[in-house]
Amino acid sequence: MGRTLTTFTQLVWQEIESLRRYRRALRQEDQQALDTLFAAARRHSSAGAYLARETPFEIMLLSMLIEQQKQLVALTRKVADLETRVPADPPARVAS
Amino acid sequence: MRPACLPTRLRGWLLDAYADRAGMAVWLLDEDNRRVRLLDPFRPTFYLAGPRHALDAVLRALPRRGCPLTTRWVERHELGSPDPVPVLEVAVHQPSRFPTLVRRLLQQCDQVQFYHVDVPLPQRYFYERGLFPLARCEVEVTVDGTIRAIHAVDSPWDTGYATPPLTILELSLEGRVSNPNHGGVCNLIVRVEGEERCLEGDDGAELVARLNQLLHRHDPDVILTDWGDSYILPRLLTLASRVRLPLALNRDADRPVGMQAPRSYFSYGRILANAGARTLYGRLHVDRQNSFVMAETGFPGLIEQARVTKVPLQHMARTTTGTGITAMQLETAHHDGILIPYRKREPEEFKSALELLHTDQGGLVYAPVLGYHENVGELDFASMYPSIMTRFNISPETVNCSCCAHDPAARVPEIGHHTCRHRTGLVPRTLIPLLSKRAQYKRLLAATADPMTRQVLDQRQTALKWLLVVSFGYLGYKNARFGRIEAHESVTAYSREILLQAKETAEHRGFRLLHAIVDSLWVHKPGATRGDYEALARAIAARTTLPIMVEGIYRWIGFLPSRVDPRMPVPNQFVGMFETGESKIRGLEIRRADAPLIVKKAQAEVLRSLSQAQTVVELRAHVTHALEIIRAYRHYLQSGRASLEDLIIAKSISREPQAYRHQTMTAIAARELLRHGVRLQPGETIHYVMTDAAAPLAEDRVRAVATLDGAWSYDARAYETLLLKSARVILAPLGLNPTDLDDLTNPGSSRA
Ligand SMILES: [Zn+2]
Repeated sequence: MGRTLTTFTQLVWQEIESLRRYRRALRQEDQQALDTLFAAARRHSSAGAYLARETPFEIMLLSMLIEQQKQLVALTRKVADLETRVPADPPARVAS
Repeated sequence: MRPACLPTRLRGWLLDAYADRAGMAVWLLDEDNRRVRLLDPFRPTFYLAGPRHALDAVLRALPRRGCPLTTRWVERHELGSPDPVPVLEVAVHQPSRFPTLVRRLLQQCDQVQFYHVDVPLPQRYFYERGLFPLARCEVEVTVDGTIRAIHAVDSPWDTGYATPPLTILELSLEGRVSNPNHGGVCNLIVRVEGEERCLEGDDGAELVARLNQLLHRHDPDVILTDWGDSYILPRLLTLASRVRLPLALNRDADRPVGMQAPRSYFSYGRILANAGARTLYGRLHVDRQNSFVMAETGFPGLIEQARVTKVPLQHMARTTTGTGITAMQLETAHHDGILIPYRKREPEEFKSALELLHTDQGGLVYAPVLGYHENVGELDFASMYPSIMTRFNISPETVNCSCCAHDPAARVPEIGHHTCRHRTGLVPRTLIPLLSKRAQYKRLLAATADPMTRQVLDQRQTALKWLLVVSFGYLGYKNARFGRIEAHESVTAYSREILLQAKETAEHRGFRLLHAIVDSLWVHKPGATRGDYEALARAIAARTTLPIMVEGIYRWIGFLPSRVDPRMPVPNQFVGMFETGESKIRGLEIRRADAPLIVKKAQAEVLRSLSQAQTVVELRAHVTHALEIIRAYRHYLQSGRASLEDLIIAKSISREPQAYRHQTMTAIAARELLRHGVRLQPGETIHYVMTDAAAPLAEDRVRAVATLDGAWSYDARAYETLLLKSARVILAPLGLNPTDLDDLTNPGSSRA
């Protein structure tokens, strides 16, 4: 029996709520990073609802990883692109 | 000295008090500068509770002959219980017999609860009469020196008190740096009233006679020594008995010198040694080398602690700060008519707020953001734990009281406990005057310019700070006499909540949290002025209702990496330069007792050079100069000219020398001393030099300083390694890697 989209989003919110004290004790910059991760988990709510697994937190982690993987690929491409565009940098100094 | 005819009224300072046959012997330094021995017919009491037949058995066991006693039934309270209990009060007419009597009863009667049996009698006497060590008092006496009335005319809570004009005689050993018990022979130096003499030990009888002469002529109130407890006094007494001459160390000629065996104990997670004690009657012996409070706060700090805790000066000098705070708690209990239960042994010294960080998870910590930062403000909560205990009324008997369970304002954050909103607890009542006296000293300090007065005020406030620091461990913890784990948990829960509130307030105002430990925060905001940091402190104080102050604004501060993993930050390890030009350093060799002097000197020079930098960019520019300094020190080490003082490594031994399982340098040096017949106890400090750190034979690696003779040489390479380590921790965050550091400071290398 599949879960509906709303229930999975609710599960994410419940997870966030259960981490409330953890989040409170984080530095502000780390709180922002945590919020970004859970935003990624919410983005894949429909896939999560479709799978309907007993332990939804694993699916949330996977969803976070998917977003990170995509960002990694994008950044790698950007770096490669910049390296081809910037002409011959003076050779890196050998450590003196 | 018992003057035949005394005036009926005396004024003076209370020098000493101890149990005697017919009461308490009380020594007064009177207004005519005389030292008089008086007697107060004081009868100490103790209390017993238990089943009727057991109490009857005690009554039968009480020896009446030779030691008169008075018994009666009275009602007293147990801490935290509203109903009084009937207890049997026993008054002992001869205080000097009190300890033996109690010890015997404790052994014989195991069905009875004992109360008030192990509070030292001088303290009981002080509680009863409202006195304290070195109090200024007024005494009414009879012609034979018996006290009819005595009362203090000043208060232990006065901040402007005068100390009596004490005559001090100092005894030390010529040119000693390390423990004389570990070897070597030396002459006795006597300093008194501005004169210094050297007494040579060739003729024992003459030495004793000359010392007696000085004691009679100057009649000192205090004998201040270095190594007096473990070395000088024991040897002088042995010498005196060998040459059959009495040594007039005691002012009370009827008494022998008091003796206590050495012991080892735990404090702040480390094992420490107490070298035993040689205490005097009518005169005070204080050994600077066997006194935590003397080392931390000097004689003014010792007097301050003795006055507020009412622990006699000689005892306060040698005991732990925890005993002092416990004594204050006992006094509060005694005045409230609360029974003080007997404890078989005092608990170990508890941890400071900072120490809890590693062991207890009690306080909250934010690991520092590694590296050097500019314009950083440090904000400190003033005496956070004691302030929490008083602000939120945390005490063993107020936590989870029966009257406030449903009051939401009484709730402790995070955990299910609550504290009483109706009655102020024993612990807060003990701490409130202490907190306010320290605050008064700090205000006086801020308004005083004279350096001598400032030093005394600072030593006094530091002495109170130590009592406050240990108060949490002693008053909140389950092992303490009135301790309770729920009180301990409540304090740490509040401390976490308060640090979180402080963090939120700072972040809300746009500050970044760089580092925080329990009661201190380091925060940064680009362009923030002193006014902004002060405003932040006020906002935090308003939200948390606890006092917090700006400790200072750092021009720059470096949070330094772990020596094991350079990517790991370490709490409370930093070097910072305040905008005032003062520096603050934590966790570096320069602050460590065990680092050799040469390493400390080099590190101090590097830091002095870096301190000229105004910005982090300028810091990087100073690295070259820092490298030159290290290079010069390595050159000096390699040249073989380093002196013994430069090279000594001082380590405290954590166990008996035979009990070490690994061949650590400390173990090797300890065993060398053992072979020379030196008896060592855990916690004692030993001194050694590294002679050949990589030698295959363990005995060749290090030598104990006390056994060094003419022929020895040091391992320059091993000291260079220590030097490089001490430089690396500072310079690595400025972009210098270990290989470069080694190469660029190598005196033999062409690269520098
Ligand atoms: Zn209550």
